[in-house]
Amino acid sequence: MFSFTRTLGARLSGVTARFASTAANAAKPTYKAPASVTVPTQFKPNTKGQGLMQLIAKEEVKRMGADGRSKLFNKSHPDCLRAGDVVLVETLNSMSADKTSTFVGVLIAMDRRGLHSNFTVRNVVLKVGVEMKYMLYSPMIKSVRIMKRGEGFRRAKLFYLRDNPGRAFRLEGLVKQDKAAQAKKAAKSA
Amino acid sequence: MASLLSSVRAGLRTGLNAECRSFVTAATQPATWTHKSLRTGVIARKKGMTAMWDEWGVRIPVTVLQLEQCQVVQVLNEETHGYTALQIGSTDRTPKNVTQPMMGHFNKAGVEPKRKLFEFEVTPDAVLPVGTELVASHFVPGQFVDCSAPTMGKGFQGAMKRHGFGGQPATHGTSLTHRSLGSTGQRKDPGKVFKGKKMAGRMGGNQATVQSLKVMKIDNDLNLIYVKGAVPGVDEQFVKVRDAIKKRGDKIAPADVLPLPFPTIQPEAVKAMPRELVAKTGGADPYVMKE
Repeated sequence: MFSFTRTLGARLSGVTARFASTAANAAKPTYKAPASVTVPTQFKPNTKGQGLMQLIAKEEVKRMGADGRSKLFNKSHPDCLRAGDVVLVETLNSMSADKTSTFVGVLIAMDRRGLHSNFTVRNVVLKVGVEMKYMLYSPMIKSVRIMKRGEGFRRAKLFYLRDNPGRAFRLEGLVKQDKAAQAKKAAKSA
Repeated sequence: MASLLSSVRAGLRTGLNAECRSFVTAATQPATWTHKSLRTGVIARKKGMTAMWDEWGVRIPVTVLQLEQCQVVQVLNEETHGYTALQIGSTDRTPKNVTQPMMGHFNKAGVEPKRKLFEFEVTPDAVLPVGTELVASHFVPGQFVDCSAPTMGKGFQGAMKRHGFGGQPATHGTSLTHRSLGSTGQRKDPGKVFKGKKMAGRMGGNQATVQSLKVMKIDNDLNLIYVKGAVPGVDEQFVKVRDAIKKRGDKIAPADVLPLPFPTIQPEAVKAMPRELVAKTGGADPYVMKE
């Protein structure tokens, strides 16, 4: 479970200030980013032992995964997602407001592709099967929570659930339980 | 003029491998941009494609272009050549693999032998001295560029793929002729097939220009330009990158990054910049419904 807890203000501004060096370098021109340019988190490029594209991809993963979402796809981490888990994905409706949308479902596919890693969540909503595909490193994903670990799934891709769902998508009870737990937690902390 | 050139060359030979930036000497004054000015393009190498997310959370595919030792090798002028242009060279190569005529050409300029040479026509106020290194910050994030490169070769292809012909029906009696050209002309008049008739043949490997690609990101340490969208050709291809011709004047870039560095970016300005600069898409949030 991870939560992307940057405030709306921080998300909107995006500019990390770069200040001029000391007074000794006052003659040097300083750079002030104009409004249409953002300065992202800077890393020092290390081109030893890897090609340019691998380096760029790694840096971008570090930048977009600064809130720890890479652990969801890291098999050696205890919080790793696995096919068959019931997950709750909270996504921002837009970057300019704090409103979120929630989708609960069974994780049926995980594609490990570095920066482009994505996962598919399936649920049956009002008798209609719905699959949502999420890019792991998208800034619109606020949090991914595991509501229940999958048991007895022996495949990496559970596409067979489209034709043979069994009891896999009976998730209303889980959602209710989770809501109650969340309300309790909120009451406790308040 | 001769003394200026010789001082440039002397500086080059001593400092050629010292730094990857700074060859514009103090003698050259940054000229003033006018609406008729045309600055030089660069030669970059297509390194691959990746994706990035903009400030609105929209995922944008980008092509990574890298400038490798991109230097001015020759200045062509009105008096001697009849037009004003800069010959730009990219990517050093070992002298032992360079022919003597080409070595002579590079020695005259005082630059390392280059793998690729292209000319970029410029206006006289945008002329750069020989040996000037062009870096990624020649372009600013948010501006539009045109990229030209030979397209990927597709080999011998039929008319359907090569020219978009419709072919013949798959069923209803058509025998052994589903993807062919069909008719190639009339009858006794003209009694021949016109030259240039679209037929099967080798496809790809021709120069193509993709226009008005937005520069999404500039990397000053690795000399990278990230352009939005796709660029013709394979990876490691030499690509000519120029300011977009269909976006003249104020339309080339957002107002707060104008004017573009003219004739090219000063090395001190590059040193002051952070490593990476990302362009904002701007405009309204696309995920917010308009009233």
